[in-house]
Amino acid sequence: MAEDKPPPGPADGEIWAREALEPDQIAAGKHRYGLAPLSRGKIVLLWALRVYVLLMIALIVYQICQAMRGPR
Amino acid sequence: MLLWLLIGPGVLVMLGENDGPSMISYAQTGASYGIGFFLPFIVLTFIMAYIVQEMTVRLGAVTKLGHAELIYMRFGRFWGFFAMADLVLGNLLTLVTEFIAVRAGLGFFGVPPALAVLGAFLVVGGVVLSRRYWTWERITLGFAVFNLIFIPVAIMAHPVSTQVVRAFFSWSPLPGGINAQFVLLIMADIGATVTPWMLFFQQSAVVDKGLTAADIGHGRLDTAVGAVVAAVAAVATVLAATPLFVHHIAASNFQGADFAQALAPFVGNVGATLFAVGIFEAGLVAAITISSSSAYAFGEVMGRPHSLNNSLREGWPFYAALLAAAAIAAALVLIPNAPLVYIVLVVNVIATLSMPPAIVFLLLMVNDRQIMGKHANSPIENFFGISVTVLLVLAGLFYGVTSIFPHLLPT
Repeated sequence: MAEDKPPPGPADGEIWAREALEPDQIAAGKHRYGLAPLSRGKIVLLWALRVYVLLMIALIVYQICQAMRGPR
Repeated sequence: MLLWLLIGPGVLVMLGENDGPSMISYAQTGASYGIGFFLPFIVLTFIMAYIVQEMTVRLGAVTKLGHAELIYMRFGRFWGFFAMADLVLGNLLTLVTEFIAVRAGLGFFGVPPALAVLGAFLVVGGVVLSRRYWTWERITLGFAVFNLIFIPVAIMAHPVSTQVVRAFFSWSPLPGGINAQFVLLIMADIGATVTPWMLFFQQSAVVDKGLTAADIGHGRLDTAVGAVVAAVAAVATVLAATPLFVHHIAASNFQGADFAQALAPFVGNVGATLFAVGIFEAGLVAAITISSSSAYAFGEVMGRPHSLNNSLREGWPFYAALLAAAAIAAALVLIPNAPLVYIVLVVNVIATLSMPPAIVFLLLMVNDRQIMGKHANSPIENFFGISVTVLLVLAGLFYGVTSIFPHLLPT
């Protein structure tokens, strides 16, 4: 299939990519969403995972202390 | 051609996560267990990573909002604070380990620690101050290609191909069975592939690159290519370190440069040099991507301009946050007698443990039809997403229980 223009080279492609992509990078075009409703089940889940993370971090801190004390 | 133009965030996030502590975890895995169970397990972790990261592509492309700002917008400041706290703590610790990797990798060549860390910091600053996302992304991708350097090292280690093939089909052998070291490496290898900063980084990078809903297919391909390439590099690192397992060389306290030196008799000086370069590169690329992840989140939460396309004047808080994160981590590495070994050991474990809440936020948002419309998760996507979450929670609980009650495991 004949084409009028040669395929774009790397430099042309870069210019094309910038022109094609950068208009979508404008922050002013972003939609602002409101708060999502959180059901009781979701809140319980988020709290349970929060407690899980805190317990695990406490465990890791304990292990680091133990490891730093080490066998003497 | 189009793929080359649209490729970026997915490849960067996957190769960025093949960072210093990750490559050391993979090397530890190869040195401790050789060719066997962990080869297919590591591939499984990259499948998990693809499942999770693909959701961030859709979120970023559809909402044009970064991960942190979307969490704040939809869940409010209270829950947003927790998500950010996890990210900031994890990113700072991980950034420290990246500079440790840089220091260890360049230490193999006799570069003094202060010079290595300062040089890496200047490279991070130089790349960032290119002030255009496209340029930043291409330079970082150029660095990230060096992650593949572990492949020739693996070839030089002469792995037995039949053993490799058998391991992938049988998930065995597992020398020593399930013990404390096995549990630690399971957690470290998961944390080497699936971590909270990746969610924040890829979604923000997708937005900064300017991908839209029409580009989701390319974003998926970008992420899949990244996952495959990173998985190959990870498996190669395990194979490269296997001679240490075969020759019974204890490597439990090895850092990056120690691995390179110990491998020299088996892979030659060229192989050892490539390994050290690989560790250095892994730390450098991750230092760039993780500090960017922190800065994106900072800008999104503070309502400040947060794009690598901003001018220095317009985006100075973003650039300042990025460079400050890198500078703090670099400075911590240079503190005399800092417990760097412990940080390296636990950083991937912390990443695994803090991942379930991050994935739950992700799942809640990607199922939110008000923002996602027809791009919300399908039932099958939810099945895979929830499966990954459950697997991570179970792995964390298993680690916790066996840490408190170590006698439950065989010695």
